[in-house]
Amino acid sequence: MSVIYIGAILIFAIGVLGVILNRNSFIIMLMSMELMYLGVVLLMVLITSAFDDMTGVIWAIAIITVVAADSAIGLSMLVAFYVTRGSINVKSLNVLRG
Amino acid sequence: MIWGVVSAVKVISAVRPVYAVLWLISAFLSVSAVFIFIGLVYMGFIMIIVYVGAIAILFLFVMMMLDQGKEEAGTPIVNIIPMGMIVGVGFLWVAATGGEWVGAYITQQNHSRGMIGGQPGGDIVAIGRVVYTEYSYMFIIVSYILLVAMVGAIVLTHRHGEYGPDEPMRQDVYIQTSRDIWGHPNQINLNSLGRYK
Repeated sequence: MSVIYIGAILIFAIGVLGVILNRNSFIIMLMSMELMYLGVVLLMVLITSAFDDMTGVIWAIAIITVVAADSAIGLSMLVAFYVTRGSINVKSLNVLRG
Repeated sequence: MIWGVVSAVKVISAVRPVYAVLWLISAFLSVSAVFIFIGLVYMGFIMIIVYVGAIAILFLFVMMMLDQGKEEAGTPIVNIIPMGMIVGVGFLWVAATGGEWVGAYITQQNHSRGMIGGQPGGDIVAIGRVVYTEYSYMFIIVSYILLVAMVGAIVLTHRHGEYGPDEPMRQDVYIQTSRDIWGHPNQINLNSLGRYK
């Protein structure tokens, strides 16, 4: 059972690494964010199921809904950005740079 | 679980984004398999339906819409070391102290204790008993989040151009009702059809 806990933490850490270390593709950054959500949901459900509690499962369903909304908004922002700039490179995301 | 971790590593190390989406689907499948193995069958199927059926297909749609051309070299890795160190220290701190927070929260919230084990019908019955009663506020908030996401996605990807760039898209009832849809194909008024074809 502890293998699953460690695996969930590793999936979250790999998602963080993907967000940080990714340097060119915005869509892989969104996918790394999905990985972070995946690790969080798995860890939350496992911990509260170990206490025989339903709180984590209900919160996990809410988080899954928020993730769906989140990726929809993120991908539509990506499409709008591509229409505006003609590229989805992360390096060109510097409009707000002072 | 090793399958899931390996898939996650392949997601962030894939060269082409299509392969990254496929490995992301693999990671979702591994996590749903874990859910099914620990007894939460409904959660496992919800993970497959929502993630694999909706989100991964959404990624694939966007990837088909965009032109995945040349990948330019991004910022050098020296520029991201400070942010990486900040995030790494924060992650270690949360991982070291987060268990006490979770334990304190769970010992406070004990009104749904004992719902999973010994329920006839599995976890879907247990979820259905609490999601409309004690967590109904969360149900309503989630519905509003979905509404806002739908409106936001439509507004962000909306193409203007029918009435000019600053005019919102609206219906013109006169044009819609005055279409000659039963006439001869060569005699259709193309000026009234062209706007809504």
